[in-house]
Amino acid sequence: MRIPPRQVQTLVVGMLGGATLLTLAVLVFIVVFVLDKGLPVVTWTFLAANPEDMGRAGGIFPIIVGTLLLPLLALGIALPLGVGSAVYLNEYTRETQMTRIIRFGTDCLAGIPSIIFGLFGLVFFVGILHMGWSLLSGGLTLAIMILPTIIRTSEEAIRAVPQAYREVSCSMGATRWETVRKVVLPNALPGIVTGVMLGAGRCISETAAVIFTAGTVAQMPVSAFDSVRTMAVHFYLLAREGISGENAYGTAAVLILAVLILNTVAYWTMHAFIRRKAR
Amino acid sequence: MRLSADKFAQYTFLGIACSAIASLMLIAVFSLKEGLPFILWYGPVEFLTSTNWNPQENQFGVGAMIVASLWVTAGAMLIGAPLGVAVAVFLSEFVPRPVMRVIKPAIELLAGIPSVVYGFIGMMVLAPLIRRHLGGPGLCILSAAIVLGIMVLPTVISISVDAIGAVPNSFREGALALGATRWQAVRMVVLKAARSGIVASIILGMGRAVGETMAVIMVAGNTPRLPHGLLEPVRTLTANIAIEMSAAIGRHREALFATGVVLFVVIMGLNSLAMAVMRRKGAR
Amino acid sequence: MTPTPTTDIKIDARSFSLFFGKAIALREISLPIRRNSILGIIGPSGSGKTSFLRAINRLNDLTPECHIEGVLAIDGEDIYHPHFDPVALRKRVGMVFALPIPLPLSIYENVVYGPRLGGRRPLRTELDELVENSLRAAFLWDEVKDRLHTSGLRLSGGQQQRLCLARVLAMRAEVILLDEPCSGLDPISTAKIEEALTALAARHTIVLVTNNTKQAARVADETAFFLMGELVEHGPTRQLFTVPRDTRTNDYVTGRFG
Repeated sequence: MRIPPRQVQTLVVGMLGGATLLTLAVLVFIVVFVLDKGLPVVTWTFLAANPEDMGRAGGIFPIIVGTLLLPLLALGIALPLGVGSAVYLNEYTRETQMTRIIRFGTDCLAGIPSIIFGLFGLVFFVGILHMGWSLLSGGLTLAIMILPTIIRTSEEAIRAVPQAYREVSCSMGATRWETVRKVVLPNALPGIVTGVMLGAGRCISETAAVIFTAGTVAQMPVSAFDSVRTMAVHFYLLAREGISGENAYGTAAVLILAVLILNTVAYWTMHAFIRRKAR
Repeated sequence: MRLSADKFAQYTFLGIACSAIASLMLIAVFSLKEGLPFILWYGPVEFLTSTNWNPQENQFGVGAMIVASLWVTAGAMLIGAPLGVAVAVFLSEFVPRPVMRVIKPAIELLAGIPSVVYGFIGMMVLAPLIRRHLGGPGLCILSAAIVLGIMVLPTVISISVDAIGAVPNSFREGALALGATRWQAVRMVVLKAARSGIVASIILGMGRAVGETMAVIMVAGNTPRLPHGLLEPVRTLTANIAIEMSAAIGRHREALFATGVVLFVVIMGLNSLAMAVMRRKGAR
Repeated sequence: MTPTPTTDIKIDARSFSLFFGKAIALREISLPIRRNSILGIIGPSGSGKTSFLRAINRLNDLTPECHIEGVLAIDGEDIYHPHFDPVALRKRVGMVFALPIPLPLSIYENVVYGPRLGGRRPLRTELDELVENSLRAAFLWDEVKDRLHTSGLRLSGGQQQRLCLARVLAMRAEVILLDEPCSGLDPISTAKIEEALTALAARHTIVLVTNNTKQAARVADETAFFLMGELVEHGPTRQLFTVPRDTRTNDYVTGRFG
């Protein structure tokens, strides 16, 4: 018996749609589950107090600070390197063996799991360079980790700047560097911001690489050589060691909200960018 | 003078552009430097095939963990690949563009959720369900596979969507003009044309599954023994490193770095495979 | 070879050929362009007009695998000499493109883009004066003087093209290259641009590539006819349009092809 193609189509599309709904349901479930259990814990005191009794009581203030500082440091290092790489690949050279090697390296770096970054950071920054478990070790490790993301998003943003702008700038006697600085980068900025948001999101979510390099000390850092604890690490320690379910949920809720906001801002910037270009 | 400033900028940028490749080399060199001597000392065959991991007695075989990583990854791909490709096809071919523009970022949000949260929910919700309905300890291969299957979805979906989007519209129109239904056009023309991109998305998703650490630690049970069924607890390569690193010294520590080398090699293999697949598409 | 220093000739092409990879775009062009005059270049599309124009400010350098033979000299100096700085050249040779392409900056910033290059920081008052003069010379000042700090992209097509002209004037370029500057404009905007060009010819050497033969007839002092990468004929405009020496020129200006 042969089923008519129209019915096959209805059946298949139904299944595909079901798969999509299932995926969305998982997302909604995770977000709702965490917020439902965690938000009641999140009060101003929780956000502003120091943790006590290993996190069983008290709040997460130094942990929030750590979660802000670490991505800031990582981005401070990765942003100039990533944008610079993207500028070189798109503005200063044509497709050569060299660019192919650089792109290959970037792609490989993007695929390396975070635990390997953690091991590397542990050996190189913590050990060989004697930085110890610190903000600095963690920031450098995360910088390498998010470098491919920054390079890729910056490249896309730079490629989207109309070639005509470069020609105009060049025709007026601008050097390549002047064209990059005055025309290319300002116009690629929204796309670069998207990359920054995505990179920050990855730093905030990261656990394995952070534990090995930034350590787990839940105290306010006073120098770059102090260990910090991020929210993801704090959540992991509380949840896995079964220290405090309640505070774990509270931390997770703040974490998820931060990630949601970062992603939304990234998406919104990117879209404003696309709309503006279409105008 | 000003020309030389431009040249200066050019060389600076070249230097900067090498940062990614330099980082990669550093990582490769230091991973190998820390791990390789141990592998040679312990014997590569013994290290890779022995299923006996007992650091107290200087027994360092990672065979069981390699098998565990394979099981968990295979399970994750069995769930994540078909689901992800189905979602990608649905979003690209059967949904109006405005709807897709809402759903796609929502799905990409899945990639933003920290892996510890996935692991935690797997531990709190999924594992008890499995324990109650299927038996076993709950923290097992199946739980890990399901959690990882969900975690690879954003990778599979977004790269597949790009691959399907790159198929020229004339291909679809050609098939539709011959009287095919939309689905027939998709199955016979679009999926064929986008095949290498979809395969690459699955390979990259696999890379993500092999490399995932925190979520796996929380749901896989972490027993370093050879598993005999889906409901048994296992310890993957990544979990082995993360769990024991903080307390490890001497040979034990070296053995963990050696585990990292194995992981590094597997991942680089998968990445190269994905790139080769994508390049074949480019050459065609 | 030493170029002959003639005061009357601003730009001098001598057996100038241009190649993109193996393809030849211009074949042995010999074309002297007189100082402070308007040269119109006409010809069907693909005839090499634009390539020649972009050779004069070395914008073709941006295209991969482009190389030249022969000599192209400005003020008797070979601009393709290895020691010649193309960046300095482009400051002297301004260009207006076929489509109006204001940079995504304010009107004011568009005009001062050139003067601010090269690390120069002219005084605000100097810049203000320069902006006004340039916009006046491009017949745009009265229309935009109250909104100098709004985006250049908000102007109409004709205004945008005059802004692009003002931008070139602000560079104090000696040579102005125009690549079909009126192709997308209405007759009134076109008339304004032509009026501006005629006035500017007193102090600038202008090379105007156009698809519109009538435009060349209206504004150019001399006209050159390009066909398939070769210069077919060059002479005073009136002569070229009334008594062309070559039958191909005759066919083109009377509208028989192209």
